[in-house]
Amino acid sequence: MKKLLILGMSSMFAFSAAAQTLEERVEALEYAGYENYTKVGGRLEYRFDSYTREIKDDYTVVNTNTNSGEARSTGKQAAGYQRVFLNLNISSIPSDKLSFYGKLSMAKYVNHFNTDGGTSPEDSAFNDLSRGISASSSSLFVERAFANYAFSKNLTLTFGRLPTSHGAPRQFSSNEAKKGNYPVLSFGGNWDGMALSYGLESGHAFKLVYTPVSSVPFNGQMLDGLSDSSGDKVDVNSPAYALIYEFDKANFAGSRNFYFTATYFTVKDMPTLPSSTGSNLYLSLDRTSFYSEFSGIKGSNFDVYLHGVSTVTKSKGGLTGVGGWLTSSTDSDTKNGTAMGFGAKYSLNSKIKLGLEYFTGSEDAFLYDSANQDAASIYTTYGNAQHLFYSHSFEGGLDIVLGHIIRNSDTTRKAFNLIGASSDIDNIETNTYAKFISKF
Amino acid sequence: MKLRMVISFALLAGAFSAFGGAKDDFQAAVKAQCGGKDVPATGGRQGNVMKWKTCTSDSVTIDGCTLSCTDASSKIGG
Repeated sequence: MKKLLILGMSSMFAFSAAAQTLEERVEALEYAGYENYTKVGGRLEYRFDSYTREIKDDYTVVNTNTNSGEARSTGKQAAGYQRVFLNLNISSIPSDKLSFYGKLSMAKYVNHFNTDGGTSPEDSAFNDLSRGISASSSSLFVERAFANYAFSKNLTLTFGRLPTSHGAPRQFSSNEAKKGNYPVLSFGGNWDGMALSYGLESGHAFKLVYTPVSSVPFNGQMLDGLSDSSGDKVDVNSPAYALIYEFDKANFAGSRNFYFTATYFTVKDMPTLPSSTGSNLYLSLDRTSFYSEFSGIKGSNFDVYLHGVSTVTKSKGGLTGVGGWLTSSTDSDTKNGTAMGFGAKYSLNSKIKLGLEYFTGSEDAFLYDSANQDAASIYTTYGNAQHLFYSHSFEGGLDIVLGHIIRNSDTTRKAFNLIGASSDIDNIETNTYAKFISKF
Repeated sequence: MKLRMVISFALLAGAFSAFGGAKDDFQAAVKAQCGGKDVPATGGRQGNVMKWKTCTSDSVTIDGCTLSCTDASSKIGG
């Protein structure tokens, strides 16, 4: 009887313990659920570059800081760089209608001691050893910060600093998922703005993106605004839009996965260096581009892509001593150009990939990629360029990418490669790189 | 106590149904991309569902089936 009583009491304790455990477990799950709607991850890249440039014909460019000419003389130069890139990715999905994505980024040369000098501790020599430690500034670099609000299953409003940089085909050689929504030939760079997306179950999506360019006076004259060198007032906001069509579908067009996007990007009367005393230059640009990628063609281990762009550049006014956009004229001029390229890669197995890319750009194409990290970017080549690469994914989250780029340029312009008269050149650049990438 | 138990079970069911979303997505991707091949939607941190959900490469191969990976932080409209 006594034994039975003890057994009964033990059972009661056991049940109550089990009930308590279940309650605690549910509570833990509940809290975990609350915490998990915000996630932090990232990407770290350590990169070696060995760069050479051979100039076969002399030419001159203009330094826009000093407005003076700088000679580029015949000869061969070489340089080696080591850089670190960090992205901290934040995602938060507080409801089934709202999602937020952010990216805080750092990009730097390793242990960079010879900074340009300045008055703040941030600019002093050896400061690189104490960045983020010394009390110098509150800088954090926001590469992306945008919210998606789904009005319905099909219609989404997006606003903030949009995921437009590092677009296709930047991911192709580094063995990553697509990293940006504007293909490089549409525009390579981070744009702030708003977008409306309409997506269908069938894989079709349409997007209208509004990203005005601001020219804001920082001299306290907010109401007066900026004026160009002709004395004309500069609009604070110049309109810029992109219209995007995307189609993404598995088992389509003879490939395991098919992706196509066509983008029309336009900016109207964008002031150029409006704070400069010698500028009354404005840019109107239309770029129509496509990017098409076939993964796993006919059940094979081959992936290929094709891309191209047609650009119409309308220049108005000019930069003193330099000229206009793609022209020597400081009045007005229109230039049409094209560029195209392709890439192919073969997966030896699920870990190792080998590939190549080719690109060619015409003299009057408007080619620009402000998010480029290559010492010699093939997608902005006026001439032709080739890229060979090898990527190896190691179990558990490490990727190593090795590559070699050869760039043959036969045209350049006085400033930024885009402003002023074109000059015939004969430059050969090479860049051999090694990237160590971890995603966490 | 009864009410608590009911709430607890409801929360548990909610937790499992939340996971069901990821599982459904995985099964839909397998159906669309694996040509009829059967790839089990195994759970857990090292399971097939999470292998695909957390993939940051261009694709991931699970049990002989190659699935494309996407990154919502790189897409306007999610």
